[in-house]
Amino acid sequence: MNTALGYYVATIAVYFFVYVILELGYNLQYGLTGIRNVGNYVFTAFGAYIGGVLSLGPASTTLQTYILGATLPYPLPLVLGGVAGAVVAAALGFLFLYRLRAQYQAIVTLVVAQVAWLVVGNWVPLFNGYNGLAGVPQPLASTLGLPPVEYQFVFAAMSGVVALVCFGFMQRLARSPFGRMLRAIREDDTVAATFGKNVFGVQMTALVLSGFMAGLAGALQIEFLGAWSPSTWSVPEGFVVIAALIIGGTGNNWGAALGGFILPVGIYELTVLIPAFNSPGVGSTVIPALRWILIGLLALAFLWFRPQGMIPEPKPAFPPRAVSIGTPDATEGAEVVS
Amino acid sequence: MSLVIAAVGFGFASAAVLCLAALGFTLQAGITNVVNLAYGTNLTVGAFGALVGETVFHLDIWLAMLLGALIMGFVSVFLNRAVIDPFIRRGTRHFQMMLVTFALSIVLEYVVVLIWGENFYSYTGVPSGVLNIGPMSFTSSQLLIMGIAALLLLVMHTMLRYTKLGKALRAMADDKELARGCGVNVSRMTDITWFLSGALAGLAGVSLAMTTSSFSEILGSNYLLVVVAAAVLGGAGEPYGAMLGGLIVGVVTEVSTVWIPNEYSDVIALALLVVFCLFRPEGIISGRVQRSEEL
Repeated sequence: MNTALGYYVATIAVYFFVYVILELGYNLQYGLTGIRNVGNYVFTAFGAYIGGVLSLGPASTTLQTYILGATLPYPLPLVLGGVAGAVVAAALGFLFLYRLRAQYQAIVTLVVAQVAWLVVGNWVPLFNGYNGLAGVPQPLASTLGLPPVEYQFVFAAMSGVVALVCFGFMQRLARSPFGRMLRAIREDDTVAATFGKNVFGVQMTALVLSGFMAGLAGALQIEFLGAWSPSTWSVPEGFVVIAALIIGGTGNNWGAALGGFILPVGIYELTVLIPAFNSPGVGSTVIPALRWILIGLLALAFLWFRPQGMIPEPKPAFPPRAVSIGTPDATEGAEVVS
Repeated sequence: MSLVIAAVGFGFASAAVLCLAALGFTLQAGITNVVNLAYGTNLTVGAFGALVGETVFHLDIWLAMLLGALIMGFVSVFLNRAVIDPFIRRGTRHFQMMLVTFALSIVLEYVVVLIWGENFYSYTGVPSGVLNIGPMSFTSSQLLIMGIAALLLLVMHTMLRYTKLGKALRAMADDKELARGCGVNVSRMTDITWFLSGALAGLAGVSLAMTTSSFSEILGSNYLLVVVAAAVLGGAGEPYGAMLGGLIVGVVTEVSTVWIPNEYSDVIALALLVVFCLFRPEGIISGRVQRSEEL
């Protein structure tokens, strides 16, 4: 395999895994729990920033200004990036989950995303303002001592492992009693509360878990790209994550993974190559603009023709004995409700 | 102190734009019950419509403004008929409806990029004289915009309060089915609502573009949440509330720049929005949308 193609394949693979993690997290929030969060991308951003500053080393040694500079051993920046996403998610959750319903949730999360964007962009001491962080070292690159292309594949494999772990976890969670509770809250939180479920607590747990995954995805991105700035997490980028889940299938982890493949990888990243074919006379903004229009239209088309997505959520299948009207068994009854 | 008074003057100037924008947003939200996230890009389309008027048809800036408003009004009616209304008829739920308008906003914004690129533009014919009233100073375009806004708000008030059309619109905002039962032509009123909302967005967009030195495709999408803040503050769906909310948000954000850096002035408006969403979602004047179960 030649070098350029190797780079390209590895890059696409990393993006795919990153978006699988992102979509799984967003599926947990919106698809399973029904939390209407439009500002999900803030979790990713903070995961990336924290993952970045914890591998960049103290700010005094670089030309950038940021907080918390340190050089932690490898898996730590990644994990702490996830933790950062979770912390931001928890803070946001206290703000918007407790009192707000329906479209006010969406508006408030959009507002918080905008405020975070403005503050991170303008407050240079935090994460170097609009210029963003750059020169983030690639994890374990010096330890492994591999040639660049091979290293890209190793990184892709690492992110693949993280994505696989997330997928396995989400599959188990979706089938567990907790997953059933999430879906009950999504369908009708008043009914769930009437049955004694702690709606706020459960929603919060889902949001924090999802924030952790978004943070992981962010940390993986900054380690791969080496740079991160507010322009990489503006509102349209956040829309891609939402649109991808709708296209793939809300409430279904396979759908989430497929959405992560189709929209961000299939359309967004692959069309980045088109300018390389270099048609003269086409302005540099035409292809990106067409790509965004295509993404918007695709989202609209799916909302219209197939709102359940490409792989719809499976109908819950109960074992026959649990729904039989015959002699009710106390323990079985309890299991169905929990 | 004179600094504060001067800031209040700036506040009135930005409140004029905000009142127009918030009125269009809230009128449409109240009557059609759709939170239109594409409203911000409606402002952008209006601003670029006026740019076409000025550069292609060589119109006077104020005629170009009218053209921008008309273009956006018709685009708005078209978008409703082609996209939003079919989704409503099908019973698309609230959050999915927001996603529909979100997608529309992305499409509109990048259609603008497709035509004009990611460049900065400015109108050539903006009058530039400066007028001092006490410690406040206004450019003559700001004064004219304030005049236009005041006039339009008065016209909208008269229309809503004293004409049959206004009565029909208010009836629809209260109860669409009941209004239909009483012989209101609901689909025509919906068209008129979207036209008014689009035209007001267009006017606000041109005014906003005139008061900033240059504008690009992100003019409106950056402004959307400030408009929503004004609308929610006044009670979503409440036209007079939107005027009041626009005034409050406009003045408060400008006055806040006396103490905090300019870049963060939007943050004040957004913080107001969050506080109102949390503690008084019905707004200062209680809104009619809130009375139905979900906004």
